[in-house]
Amino acid sequence: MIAEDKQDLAVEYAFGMMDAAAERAFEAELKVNEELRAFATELRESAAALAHDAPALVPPPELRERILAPVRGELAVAAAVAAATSPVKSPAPIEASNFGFLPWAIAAGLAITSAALWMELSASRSEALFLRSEASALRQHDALSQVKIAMLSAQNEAYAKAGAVVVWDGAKQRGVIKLSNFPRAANGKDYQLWLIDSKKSAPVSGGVVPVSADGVARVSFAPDQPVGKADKFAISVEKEGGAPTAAGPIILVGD
Amino acid sequence: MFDPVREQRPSMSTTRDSNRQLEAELLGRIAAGEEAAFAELYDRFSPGLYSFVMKMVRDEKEAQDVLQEGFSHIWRRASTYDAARSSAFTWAVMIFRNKAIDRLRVRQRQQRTMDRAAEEFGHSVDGTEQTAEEVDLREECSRVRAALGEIPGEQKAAIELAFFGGLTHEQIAEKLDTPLGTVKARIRRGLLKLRDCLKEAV
Repeated sequence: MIAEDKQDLAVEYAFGMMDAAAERAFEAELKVNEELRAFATELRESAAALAHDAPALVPPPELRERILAPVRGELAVAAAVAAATSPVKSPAPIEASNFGFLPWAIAAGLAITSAALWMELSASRSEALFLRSEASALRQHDALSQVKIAMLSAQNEAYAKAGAVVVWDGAKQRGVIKLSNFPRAANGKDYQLWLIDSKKSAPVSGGVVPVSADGVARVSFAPDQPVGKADKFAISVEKEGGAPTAAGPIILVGD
Repeated sequence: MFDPVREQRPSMSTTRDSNRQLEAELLGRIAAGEEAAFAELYDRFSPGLYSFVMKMVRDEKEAQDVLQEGFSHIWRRASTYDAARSSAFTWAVMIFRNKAIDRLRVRQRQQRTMDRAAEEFGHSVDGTEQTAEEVDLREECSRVRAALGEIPGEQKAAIELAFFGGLTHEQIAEKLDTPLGTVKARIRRGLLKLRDCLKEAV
């Protein structure tokens, strides 16, 4: 009979809840306790079976190639390395002459050089592919890097005391803007936020930012079209209700 | 009465055993650097793993990235698989689950950052909930779901938070506002019940 505290440890082990040190200690115990080992294995299998409790979906077909291609590239490099490092087969004997070995030596030299060059090229391509994939994974892994915080600076004296901060989540395509010490917009005018994506020909509207009587604004916004990379943010003065494209004077900009 | 058709058809447990053996062999061949074995394992495992990862991360792009990272891990670390410790599928599930949990934790950090910013600015930014699309259930899924149906709701809820949410006992206790000891007991009893039901279903 396995004690309850050991059962709880087996549960933690099955669900991967243990830290590395606790897991090592528990695995050491499993090595010498056959009953506990069998119990922990059963629980782990049962826990993994929960994976089947998900609505059945099919991965997109192109994902298969995305996953298999790097493996194929890696194997091609390994094959090239093996070919280049295996002993060069001697050619069949030819009639003896003082310089009979020369053409073969040149051919062998060229073959080795070509193999080495090809290997280097393949290796660098494969390495580049691998690094690109790793870098992409890291970038996606660190989702925090997708949250951008921008302080906007005044572009003319009238707004020198005004403050504006934009928090932008590129992955979710949403953000928050806070304004302070802003003069009220003139009659018939509104402040409008713009997201500047260098790959787009024109700024993308983030919408109108209404400023209260005490000169502050706190607004959640979403651009009116997807933004790949928001390089900069700007606020302009536009007609009341906002403009489809930036037409009025830019009063604050920041990145 | 002897039924030749029934006698000729392998039982579910025999099929499962032979599948397990085949999958363990595939990992052995992958460890030896065989691309065809890797492709075969991908074809066998990817639908189940993709569905499972989608349930965890609820985002197609992230699920695809987790699949890429997970299979890359399998390719490089297949030699560390020990058939005596688990089935190949269980081994793979744990790898993909860990990678999905990493993503969830990054997302939680990101959400906290956004929450802090939103709190400071006095506005909350709502999260969008994506729903996974449901299609046909496979035999193994039905078996597991039937077994889960036997488990009391509160035990099932705690188990799902542990497995799909990647939460610790303490985090689950906090989330469910339930004493830690109760949560531990629920998860332990639920998992034991699941084990027994799965055994009975074989």
